[in-house]
Amino acid sequence: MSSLFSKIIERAEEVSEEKEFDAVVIGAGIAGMEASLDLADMGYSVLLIEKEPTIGGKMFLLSKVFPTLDCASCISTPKMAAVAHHPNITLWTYSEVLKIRRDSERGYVLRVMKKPRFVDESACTGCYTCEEVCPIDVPKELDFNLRARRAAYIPFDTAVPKIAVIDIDNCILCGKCERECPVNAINFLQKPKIYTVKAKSIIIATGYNLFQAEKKEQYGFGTIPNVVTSMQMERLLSPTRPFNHVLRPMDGKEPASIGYVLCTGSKDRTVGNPICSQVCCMYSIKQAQLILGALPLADVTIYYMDIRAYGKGFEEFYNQAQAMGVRFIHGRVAKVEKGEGGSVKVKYENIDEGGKLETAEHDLLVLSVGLLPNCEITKVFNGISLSLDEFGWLLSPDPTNPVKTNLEGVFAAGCSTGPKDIPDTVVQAASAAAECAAYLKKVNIIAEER
Amino acid sequence: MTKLTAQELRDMLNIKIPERLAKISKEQATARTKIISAISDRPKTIPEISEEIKMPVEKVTWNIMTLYRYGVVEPVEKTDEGYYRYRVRK
Ligand SMILES: Cc1cc2nc3c(=O)[nH]c(=O)nc-3n(C[C@H](O)[C@H](O)[C@H](O)COP(=O)(O)OP(=O)(O)OC[C@H]3O[C@@H](n4cnc5c(N)ncnc54)[C@H](O)[C@@H]3O)c2cc1C
Ligand code: SF4
Ligand code: SF4
Repeated sequence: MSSLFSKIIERAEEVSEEKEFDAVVIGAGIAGMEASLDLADMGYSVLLIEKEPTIGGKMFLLSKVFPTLDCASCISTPKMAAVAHHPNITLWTYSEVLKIRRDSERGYVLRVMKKPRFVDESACTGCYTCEEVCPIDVPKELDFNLRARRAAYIPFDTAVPKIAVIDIDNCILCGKCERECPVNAINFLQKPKIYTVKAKSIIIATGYNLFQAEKKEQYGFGTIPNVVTSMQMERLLSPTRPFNHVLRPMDGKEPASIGYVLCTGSKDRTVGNPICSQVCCMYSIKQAQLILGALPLADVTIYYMDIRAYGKGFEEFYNQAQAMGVRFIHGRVAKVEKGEGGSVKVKYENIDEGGKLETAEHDLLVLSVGLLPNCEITKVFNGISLSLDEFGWLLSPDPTNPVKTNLEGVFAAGCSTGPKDIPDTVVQAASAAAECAAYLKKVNIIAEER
Repeated sequence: MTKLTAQELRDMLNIKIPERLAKISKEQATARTKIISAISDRPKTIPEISEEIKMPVEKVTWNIMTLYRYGVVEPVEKTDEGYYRYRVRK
């Protein structure tokens, strides 16, 4: 049966007026925001397209960042606001690129769909009334399903833009939100709008996908209570956490013993991802330190194959965690089983003990999930194709210039080219913006000479 | 009163609300009412609520945390076993 949303998509309206920009940036995580701000500051006009109802990507969902332990949302929220208010940036959230083709004259032509929020963006004040009266609870994706949101919802308190959206496939069209909205912003007759956009250049900043922990069946995610992913743990540790404290999702108990399984879905041929995800060791060490801050009496154990503490201050950060009492066990976890009273049993091979098979029990087990490519966007290129590497990340044909792609005028930023941490993402985004600006200058000179 | 756009959309696309959603809406309302009434006399932990209203503990946690985020309930104290007790916010 087709969903209501797909029925509504069929009602999409073409907008006849064409839009033109120097650059289109696809994806508004930290990479896309940084690249857009840099280009906009240089005076170029930018269209920033984000598929979700809010910008910010994964970073604004994080607790703190390693190794400095700065608050992630304190860093990303001002950037999100700067993007929204920059006069040279046009921001389209809840929007999807349907097609991109090369235009010999003017660079690229994109077809972009702005999906309906069923809320008048210019009227909504972000007052939450619709969310409060809506009778339908839906797992909240941005809290990785640890609690519910409503069918009418504002994605986050710090969302940009802070405008409600209606999840029409989970809506019973009861009309309560519409009746109660103090500014009459709700309109179920809104239709998707399809725009034609011309751009001289494109930056792809579509980031990464998280490894789906269910795929590692022997680790029990989704079947054994109190096995969570590292992203769920980020949410539990964040100031905007879904619970009132760091608690077990099964029964709300404060965990006294927490285990971490590093490399879940990374360096693992059995799940088709043989490469290292670069950030899991460090984010797990960060989380261990934050747990000890929140729960000073807790035991934290990290099961690892090898610790990759390669960046500035990383080794010291690792040593600091050890000094704080975090246990590091050099061992591969073979199996996870359900224990008594909501505990989780971990069976592992202790490499430092000559490969001895041992069992430990924890109140909560965190799977440090890896980063996987998200290059779905390559499918919308029409008549031209973007090259990917053997693992599915965007590939630069020039090893000395990792932000270039095989297509002229198309650049890549952030985790679209491979797993990386935030500082490396930002450096690469700035580099993509600089390359893009140089390209735009060249294109503009050629156009003037004609 | 003018017709709601929700009703207009229903009529225009001849939409029948899936049974799944009607069921969710009813179940949720019942679950929330039961939880709120269980803690209306005194604050309770999630396992205590679960025991009293015979609802799986995971489901109580899910609802309590949702009610907490929507400002309906609040934690008041922590037991020696590491559980918080929740009460209806005044
Ligand atoms: C659990 C965990 C903890 C971490 N902790 C840290 C840390 O402490 N410190 C650190 O340095 N790094 C950390 N990282 C890594 C950090 O998340 C990344 O470095 C950073 O988020 C990369 O940013 P990005 O913009 O490239 O990608 P993303 O954050 O993935 O953003 C991509 C954006 O593009 C959008 N998008 C995707 N496809 C499309 C499309 N087709 N059209 C339009 N929009 C699209 C997405 O919705 C998203 O908004 C952590 C990662 C994880 C998993
Ligand atoms: S009730 Fe109206 S104004 Fe308030 S958040 Fe919802 S749509 Fe926006
Ligand atoms: S019409 Fe839909 S979104 Fe609005 S209150 Fe009813 S179920 Fe919620």
